Amino acid sequence: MTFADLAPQLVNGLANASTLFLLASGLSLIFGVTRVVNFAHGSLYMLGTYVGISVTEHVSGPLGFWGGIVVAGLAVAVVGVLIETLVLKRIYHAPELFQLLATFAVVLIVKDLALIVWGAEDILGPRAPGLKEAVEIAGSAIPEYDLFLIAMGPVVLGLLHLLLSRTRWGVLVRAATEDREMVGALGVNQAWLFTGVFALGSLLAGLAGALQIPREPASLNLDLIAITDAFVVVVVGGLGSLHGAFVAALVIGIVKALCVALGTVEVAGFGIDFTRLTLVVEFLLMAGTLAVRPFGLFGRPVAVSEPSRSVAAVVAPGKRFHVGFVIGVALLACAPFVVDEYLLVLGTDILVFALFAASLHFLMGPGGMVSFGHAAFFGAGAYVAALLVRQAGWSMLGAIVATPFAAAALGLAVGWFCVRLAGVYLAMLTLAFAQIAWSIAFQWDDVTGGSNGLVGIWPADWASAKRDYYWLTLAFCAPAVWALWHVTHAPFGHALRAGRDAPARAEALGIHVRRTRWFAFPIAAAGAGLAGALFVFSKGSLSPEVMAIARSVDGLVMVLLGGVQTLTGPVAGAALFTWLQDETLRHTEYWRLVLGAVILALVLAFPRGVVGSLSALFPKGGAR
Amino acid sequence: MNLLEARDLEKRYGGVHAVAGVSFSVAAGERVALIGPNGAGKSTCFNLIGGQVRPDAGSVVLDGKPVTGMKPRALFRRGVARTFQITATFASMSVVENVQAAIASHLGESFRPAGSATHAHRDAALALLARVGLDAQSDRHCAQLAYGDSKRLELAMALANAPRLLLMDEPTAGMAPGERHALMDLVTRLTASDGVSVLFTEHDMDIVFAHADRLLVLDRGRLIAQGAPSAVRADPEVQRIYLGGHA
Amino acid sequence: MSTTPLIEGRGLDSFYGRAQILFGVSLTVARGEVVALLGRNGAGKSTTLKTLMGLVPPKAGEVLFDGTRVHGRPPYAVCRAGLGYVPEERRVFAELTVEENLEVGRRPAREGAPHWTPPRLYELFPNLGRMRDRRGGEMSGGEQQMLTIARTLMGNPLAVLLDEPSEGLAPVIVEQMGEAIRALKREGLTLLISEQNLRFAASITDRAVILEQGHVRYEGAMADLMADASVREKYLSV
Repeated sequence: MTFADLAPQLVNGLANASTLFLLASGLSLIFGVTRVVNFAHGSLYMLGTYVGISVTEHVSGPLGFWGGIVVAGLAVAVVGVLIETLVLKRIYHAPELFQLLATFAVVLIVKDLALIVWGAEDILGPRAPGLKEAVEIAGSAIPEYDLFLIAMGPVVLGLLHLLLSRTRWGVLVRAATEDREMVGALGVNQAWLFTGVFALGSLLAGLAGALQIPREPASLNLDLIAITDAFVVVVVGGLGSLHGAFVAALVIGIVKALCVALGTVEVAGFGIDFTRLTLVVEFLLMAGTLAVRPFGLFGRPVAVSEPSRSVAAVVAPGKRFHVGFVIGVALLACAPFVVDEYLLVLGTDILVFALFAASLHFLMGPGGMVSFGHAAFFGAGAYVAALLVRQAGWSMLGAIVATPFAAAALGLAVGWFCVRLAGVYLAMLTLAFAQIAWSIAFQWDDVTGGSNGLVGIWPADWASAKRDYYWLTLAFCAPAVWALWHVTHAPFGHALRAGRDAPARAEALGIHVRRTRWFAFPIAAAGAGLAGALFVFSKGSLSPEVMAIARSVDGLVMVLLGGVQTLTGPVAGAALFTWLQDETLRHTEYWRLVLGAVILALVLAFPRGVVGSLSALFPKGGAR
Repeated sequence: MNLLEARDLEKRYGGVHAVAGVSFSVAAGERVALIGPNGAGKSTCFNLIGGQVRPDAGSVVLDGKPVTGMKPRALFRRGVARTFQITATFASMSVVENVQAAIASHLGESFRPAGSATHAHRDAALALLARVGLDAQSDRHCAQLAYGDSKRLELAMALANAPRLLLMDEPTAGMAPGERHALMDLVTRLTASDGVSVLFTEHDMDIVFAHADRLLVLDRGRLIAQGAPSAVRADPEVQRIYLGGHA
Repeated sequence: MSTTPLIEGRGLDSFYGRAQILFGVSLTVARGEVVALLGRNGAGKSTTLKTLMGLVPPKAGEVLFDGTRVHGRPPYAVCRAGLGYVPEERRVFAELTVEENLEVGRRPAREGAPHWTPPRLYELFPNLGRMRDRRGGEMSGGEQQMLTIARTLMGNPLAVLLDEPSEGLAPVIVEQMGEAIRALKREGLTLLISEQNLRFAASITDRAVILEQGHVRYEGAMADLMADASVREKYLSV
């Protein structure tokens, strides 16, 4: 391989690194000062691309292009300030999880607003006036615009550095990143500081998005792509470190470029296609970095508060609970005699997602560990079940029964890494594993069918009627959910909760906290895997989407909607979410907008989750 | 024979020599208080014994066997229990469930995924709660307990492994004055009958003098005096550090 | 000059989580007065200062600054009213230089309060003047203590709450600290200083308030306290 082969890819990678840095630095600044993990940061980036392209469509020439970029940055900054003042300002004192849920809701709302304004089709942007040509460097044609972007990275880093070191505002931001309370005691009103940081961070996200318009079309899935990339950069660089973000963006840009340039290489007799690694290499880098340096390359050990240290009472299910459960399941079993087929399909979905949400809740509630990548286990279950039937010729029932074991094995492996970290870092690592799983499914064409997925995975004949499959799903989901609840209230579940409530106390009482957290992973994974297996036969096909970030987010929303502190909450949340999604989809294509608005209203009105808040309104005497 | 021996313990944090060569022992059944001004190294010293912090040098010997740097959960299996300055109970559980979790751990059942934790060992847990006088509140949620009662709950949990050594970090901190002696009387009653040794840090001098057999006085990471309460009280060096002789 | 105390706490009850630390603490500091808040470890000295500053909102009682109720207001508002706070653990901004640390504390000049600028503070603390570009995290404990005091003075406060200024410092540094505090007193600054080091406190303060287990047990002139061995014995000694 010569330099001429490598150079174009390297330039491309470095150009990507620049926008990645802009995006990530905004996220990092916002987190550093407000401690909010802003999932909507990718949505701001997406808005930047759309607004930028719209301006160039209306105003031609250099003014339209460069003016468009500036307008996009400023418009997105305004949107960021609106999000901060209307939503986040009200919930800075709420648990981190609810801030997270609120930003998820913003993601949903922004996505549908973009759909309304700009439509579902990707929109190509213009090329940059004056920078449309390529220059020849060492025999390679290098686009001028790429060179411009490469210069932008260090320029923005320099400007940010000047802003943070030479202005009073910058000094206050740095001080607040270290010790917010002390800054307040010195007379600084944090509210303005927070709003200002949000404006700057959003401006950077908007600019990053707008600067990409000559290189990639505006599309509605940019939000989640951007947020995951930004998370990876920030976590690898170290939360709150600007220089860390810059280095991490460069490293990721270069490594991705190398993977493309290397192509297929013979290693020890095997042909390894490195180009396929591009989708996953940043997550491998992140997993590797976190394994060696749990706080990222330039991060300092900051006290990352555990996201879910609820102190609310958890009452062990008594006889009445069990009776209620049996009656509930019996009623559900009677449903096929009264409702139509449409509702049965919806019911099957609800059962599947109730199990999925309950399994995620097992990690988040008793385990106190937030997972951003729970769909990995769901998707792994779906693929394992499908492949057992398709490739190994197993029966459907055999595949469904075997799947939880396979998912548990995966959970054991993933969990081993994850429990070494805590809080946001743990969540990020689960996200990394989920993305790795997704890209394997996406790229392993021979086995998984790649992006096309697998089709024709229908239930066995005896369960092919909608009502029969509904019963089958109920027969698996109800005992599985019950089993998860049982473990929660078995000695293991109590040891897990003990480690969450008071880790030092639990260790002093002989409880191996890390190991209990580790073992929670296979249990949760088994539940999610079973849900995935039931899902695939109900749909008859599957694609990598089954384990995309969006599904992990759906799971989180279900759990948080229902409330982390109750057993029934996640099940109720799953039912509510799935029903709302279905209901709104029937009336409007903008179901995300409705759902996001509902979630936002719920978060602002009930910062404890729906079931949690309802039970707080109607307290049931003393604990039993 | 001494139950606990600390030999030449050292711990540095950056440039700060938090514990600079501390040696002492605790005899079986003895109640020893570790005192000293703020920043003297009491907490660090205490955490070195309890396994929360690893010493840079020196050793800890329990019952003739080295336990230096052993994790708290391993020390628990060897009969060391502790309470924390900030009460740390399992806030999502009921009072009796807290004790049941401790008993389950003592019996090695923390990984049992089946069976009801609410029913297992309930009688044994209630018996422990009765010993600390909390049996009437056993089914309350532990967030509803008065502060002094959660201290007693912690004590009940610490007794779940029938310890030989009980470590208590500022056991009466944050309690109303009247409750303090009641709690320490309870500790004395519970431990004396079984010959349990107690090592505690405390800043309430009334408590220290009323409830310790022997005092260890730390200042700037060093042990500057030890002995019977009356002897330590008369020690001019001790008077000096408490009344400020540095200026 | 009015007779209203500059700092006044009335019947303060404060908690950390569910642990009650202060039980009806009342105290006053007159304008221009320097008062020592004494007591053993854990008596509630730091909590009293944090409560006055609004960092630990009291569950009961009132805080008045210059006759105006300030309890329930956020710390930044209390600071802007003219009350400065120097925390016990120093809490300098480790990544910021000396000059930047001072910048964080800067507030506009205030009528009736001494006006502080970095050059004036470097006169008061010559050590700081020699290390303007050094990061807070790279300074010694004594230098950090001087920096936190200087940083708070940048807000041109009428009064300062000083939490254990001598803690963990070498004797010679404690002496320098005493010198600086006496200079502040000459400027007319009102000070409430929590201390464990009685001799040091006696050298810089006019009056003493003794806390024991969250209750005020003694109030009187410093000279009287120094003359009364029984009180010292009862509340401060071993």
